[in-house]
Amino acid sequence: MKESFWGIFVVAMGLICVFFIYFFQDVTNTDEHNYNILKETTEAAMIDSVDLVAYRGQGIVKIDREKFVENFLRRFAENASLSKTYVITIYDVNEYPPKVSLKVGSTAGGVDPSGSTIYNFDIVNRLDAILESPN
Amino acid sequence: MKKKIKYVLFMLLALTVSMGVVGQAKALDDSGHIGNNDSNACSSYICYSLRINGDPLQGIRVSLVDGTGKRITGTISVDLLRSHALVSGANSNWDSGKLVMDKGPNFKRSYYMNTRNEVLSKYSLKTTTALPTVYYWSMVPKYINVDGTGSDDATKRLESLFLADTYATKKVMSLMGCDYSTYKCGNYQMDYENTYILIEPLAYIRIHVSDDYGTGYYGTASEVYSMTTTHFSDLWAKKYPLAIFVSKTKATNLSKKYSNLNISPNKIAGLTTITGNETSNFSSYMDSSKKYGVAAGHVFFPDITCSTSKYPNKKLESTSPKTQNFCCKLYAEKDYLGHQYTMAEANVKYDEKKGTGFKDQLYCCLHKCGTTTNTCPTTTYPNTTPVASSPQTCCKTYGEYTTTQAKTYYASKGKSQVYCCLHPSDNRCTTATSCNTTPTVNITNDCANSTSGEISDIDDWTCIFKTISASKNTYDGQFYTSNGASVSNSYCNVACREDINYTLSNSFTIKAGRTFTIYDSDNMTNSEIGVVLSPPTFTGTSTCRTGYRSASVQNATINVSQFLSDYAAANESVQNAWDALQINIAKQKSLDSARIVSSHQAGHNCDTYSTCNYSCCVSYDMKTGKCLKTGTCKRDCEPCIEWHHGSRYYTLYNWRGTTYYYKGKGYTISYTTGSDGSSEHGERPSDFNTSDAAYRAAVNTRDALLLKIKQCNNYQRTYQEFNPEVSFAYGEEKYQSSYSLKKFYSEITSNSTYYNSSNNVTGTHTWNTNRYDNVTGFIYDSYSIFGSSSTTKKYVCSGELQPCQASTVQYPSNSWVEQVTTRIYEYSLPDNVYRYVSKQGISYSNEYEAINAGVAYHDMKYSNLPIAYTTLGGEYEYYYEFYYDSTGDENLFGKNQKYIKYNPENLFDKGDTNYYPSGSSSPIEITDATGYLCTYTVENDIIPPDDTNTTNGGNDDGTPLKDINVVYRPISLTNPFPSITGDGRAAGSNWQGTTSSGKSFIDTYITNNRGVSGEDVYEETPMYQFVLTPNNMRAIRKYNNSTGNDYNDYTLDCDDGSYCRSTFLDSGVGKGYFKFTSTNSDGGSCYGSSNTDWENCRYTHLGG
Repeated sequence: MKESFWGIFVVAMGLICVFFIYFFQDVTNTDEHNYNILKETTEAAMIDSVDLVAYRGQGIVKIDREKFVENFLRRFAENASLSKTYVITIYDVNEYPPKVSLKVGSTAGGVDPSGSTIYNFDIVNRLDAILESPN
Repeated sequence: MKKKIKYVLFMLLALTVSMGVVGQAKALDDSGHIGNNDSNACSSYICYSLRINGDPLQGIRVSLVDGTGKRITGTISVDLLRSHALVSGANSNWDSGKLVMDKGPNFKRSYYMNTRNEVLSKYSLKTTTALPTVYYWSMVPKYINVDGTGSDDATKRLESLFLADTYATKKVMSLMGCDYSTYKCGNYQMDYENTYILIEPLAYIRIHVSDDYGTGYYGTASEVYSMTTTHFSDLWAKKYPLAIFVSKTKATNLSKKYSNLNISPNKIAGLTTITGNETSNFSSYMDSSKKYGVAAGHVFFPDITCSTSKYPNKKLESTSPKTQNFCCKLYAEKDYLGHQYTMAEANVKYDEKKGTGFKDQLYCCLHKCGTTTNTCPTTTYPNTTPVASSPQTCCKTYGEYTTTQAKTYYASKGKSQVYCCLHPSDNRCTTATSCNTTPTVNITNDCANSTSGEISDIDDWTCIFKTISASKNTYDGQFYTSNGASVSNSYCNVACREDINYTLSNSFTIKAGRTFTIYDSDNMTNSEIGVVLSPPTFTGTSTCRTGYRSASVQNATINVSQFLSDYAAANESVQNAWDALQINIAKQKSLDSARIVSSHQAGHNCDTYSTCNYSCCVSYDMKTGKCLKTGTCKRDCEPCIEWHHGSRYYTLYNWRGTTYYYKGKGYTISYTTGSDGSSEHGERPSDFNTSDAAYRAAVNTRDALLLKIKQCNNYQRTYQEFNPEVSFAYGEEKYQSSYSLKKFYSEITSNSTYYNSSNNVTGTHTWNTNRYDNVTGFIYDSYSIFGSSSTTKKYVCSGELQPCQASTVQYPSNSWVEQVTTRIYEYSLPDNVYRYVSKQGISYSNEYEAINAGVAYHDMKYSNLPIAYTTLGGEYEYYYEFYYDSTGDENLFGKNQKYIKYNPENLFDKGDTNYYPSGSSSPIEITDATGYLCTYTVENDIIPPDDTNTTNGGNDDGTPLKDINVVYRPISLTNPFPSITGDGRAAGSNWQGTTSSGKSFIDTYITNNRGVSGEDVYEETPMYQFVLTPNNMRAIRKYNNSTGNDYNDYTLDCDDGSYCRSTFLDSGVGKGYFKFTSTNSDGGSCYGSSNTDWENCRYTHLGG
């Protein structure tokens, strides 16, 4: 019995370890994944939202605010994991000079069973970026 | 033999007459008589006398007839007497009055004043006892001798009366009812080539059968003969007419004249040539079958008017060509110079122009016409008179100087006239210079040399006015008739010169992706245009002057003195017309007021008298002339047995009107009316002409003179023909084209400066130019007077029967006037050239195209020319042209401007219009001759070439392009531009600016973004916040697939290209693209913001 208990304990501990390993791996991977998506998507969206009218008319590099937001969401959704829910929070989009500040949060399945409450997790990535013209 | 025949005839007559005469008939104390001139009583003779008041009548009757002797319609005959004693009240030539008759004898004459033909056409003449109205003219020769005989050359002398005296011809023409200058008789236009002045000598003979006075017969020889021939033809045959009017010489002359002018030699003025025995057989003259009549003299009308002083080869009068032609041939026909010319020469040479230098006049050339001998009028050489045209030939053939000298010094005088100068010492030739009106042209074709050009007419006004006779449709002619319009009247002549200059833009530098335009940058508001080229500016100046001025000619050029003279005459005409009108009005009013004031009984003319018998000689002694046998003869006597109207008396009523006065003179109209039952006697006079047409015409004529002098002062050239069309072309790869520019600015100014004879300014005036674009040529101010002025007399006439009152009128008295019209045009791109730019960076020329593209766009407000974003850096060409052929319509400073219409000396060459700008594969319409080339430099900062990429995205020339030339950079909000030294680095160029509040972009938008420091921005309310669930992301991916994964679809809803809202975001919740969080259920502070809170939303909900 005692040995059985230990056996059960070891197996349980093993499962627990596996869970934690999986959990931290998931957290780590999500964090890294989210950041990369955030960074690349932001760059692409900023470039795509450069306002050519402003350059033609005023000779300035300017982005369209909502075109950036739209472009970011579409690109992000195209590359993000369908197993997760993301919260995209945009704290700043400055058209001229172009600068954005945004935060992406995700869950690793941390949604309540009803699906009505979204829990914020610590897997949060923030990015501040600009477009800079060469001197 | 001849004497014997006469004698026999005389005796036979005497015998016949003596048979019916009771007593002897003999001459009284007259020179014309039968038998001896003694003083025996005439109790037994038929006596006659040719004398009236002591002398034979010397007079002529003048009539105007055609070649057949028929009276010219509307004319009357006129009797001219040599002795003023026979014309009642006459003292000077051409005075008229009743014939003064001897007291005693009865008087009888033809009721009408007949011509020879008219006498012959009547069976018997209607006679009257009333004395005729005759005229005194002392030039009538004595053509009847005292003894009743006449001179053989009497006829010739009578003809010469009018040939030698033009005044007499004009006078007698007027008396006959004709105008000598117009050849009109009343309303009848006489045929110049078929008109004769018929001259018939007048005769008077008194016949009596006893010592009483008998009856005196007066009239032409034909008339007197007709009245007396019944009983006294023998007398005529013997004496009176024969010697005077018919001779062989006369007949010969008649047949010779005008044989080559298709005028019958035997039918001249109705006269018939009498030859041979008929000349001495007077009894046949009045024979009814031959109807010679009593011959008379005549003058062919052109013989008078075609003055021999004009022939040969001298300028003809400005009469009708038909008259000139006839006169010339008549000259040859009459052969005044003694057979020097033949009719053949006259026929051939007539109507030739006389030769070089005299092309505007017609000459009658009879011999050697056209040769230098006859065509060089030596009176104009050398240097006495300006020569109108090329006088080389005449100048060189002038005999006083050598041909070499003539060649050497033949020259224009250098001023406004051309002279033939033959000798070096002739100072009028020493200053001879040629007048070259070629304009000065300085056209720039390349901005590297100059950005401005100009063309100017010569400013030598002497030379300009020297070409005043230039043909209208020539370059020089445009000095005076600009596009057919001119100011030229009897008081001035205006010439105009032009100065044109223009300025075009220079080289410029522009960024790829930007635009440039052509406009006035000072007038551009909120312009987003990268480069604004200075607009092409074309300035045209027209300077017009009156008359001809130079340093040596200081006389007034507006002929004010002539105006004053003309105006004074016209003013008098106005008064005269008014006076005539008022006099007629006075007469008419008197006529209208006429009432019967008295009446009287009137008698009738007698048609047939009773016949009375009287004793007469029926047979004469042929030797002594004494009556051998008396008998009974018959004659008319009272009482009248046949009245003209059937009854003897009828009542005539005398009318008289009220007297009306004008200028102190009364006008009363009286007249008589009555009826004999069958016809009316007398009638109310015709109404007088009370139309004011003549007066108004005189006023208009006078006013027109004032208008002329004002036109000379107030002319303004609108200069409408200066209307350049300018186009622009550039070689941009994607947008290259040629554009016709539009005038966005035009300015017209017009000023006149007035000078006196001392060249001092007397005044200036600036004209209103509102109408200048609607009028070609010149416009005038017909009312105003500027500069110096003066007054002259003017009659003001108004009020019935009121005389004109003298007033004054003001007129401009300036000596000369200079008027300057300046037009300035500035050009810009036409409307709607690439004005609309889509969010994709494509420019459209109109909004419709931009809307159709389905992409949000922005209105640049101004037409502009883009430089493509992908244009490589480098130098490119652009062009202006203002001389080109647009749809076949040439234009250079305006399509009607003189330099394009006449292009003097081929100053401009349109060149080839298919021109390939550098780097272009397709031609643009630009001239390669007078086109203006310049360059622009492109700097590509937005999509520069990528030296590292040689495969994709490059230009056609293989040069690759980068993406948009910006660097994406994640930053720290506290240290956005770090460096390895820790001091930070310089921000990119787009981050080096400042906001309108003066804060730096870095401070405003990075380190203190949204008004908070650094990372604190993440504590603010999000501008946007979305939740992407797996389902949301699947929906987005589906949407992405539907657009082909094109993230540049620009589904934006913008306000003129700004404040763009994404339709994706606006519909995102509904379409399941995203959700909102519970904490930001509205999607964030900027979600759904509009242009009103577009910026403020960044600063709301602070600390949220």
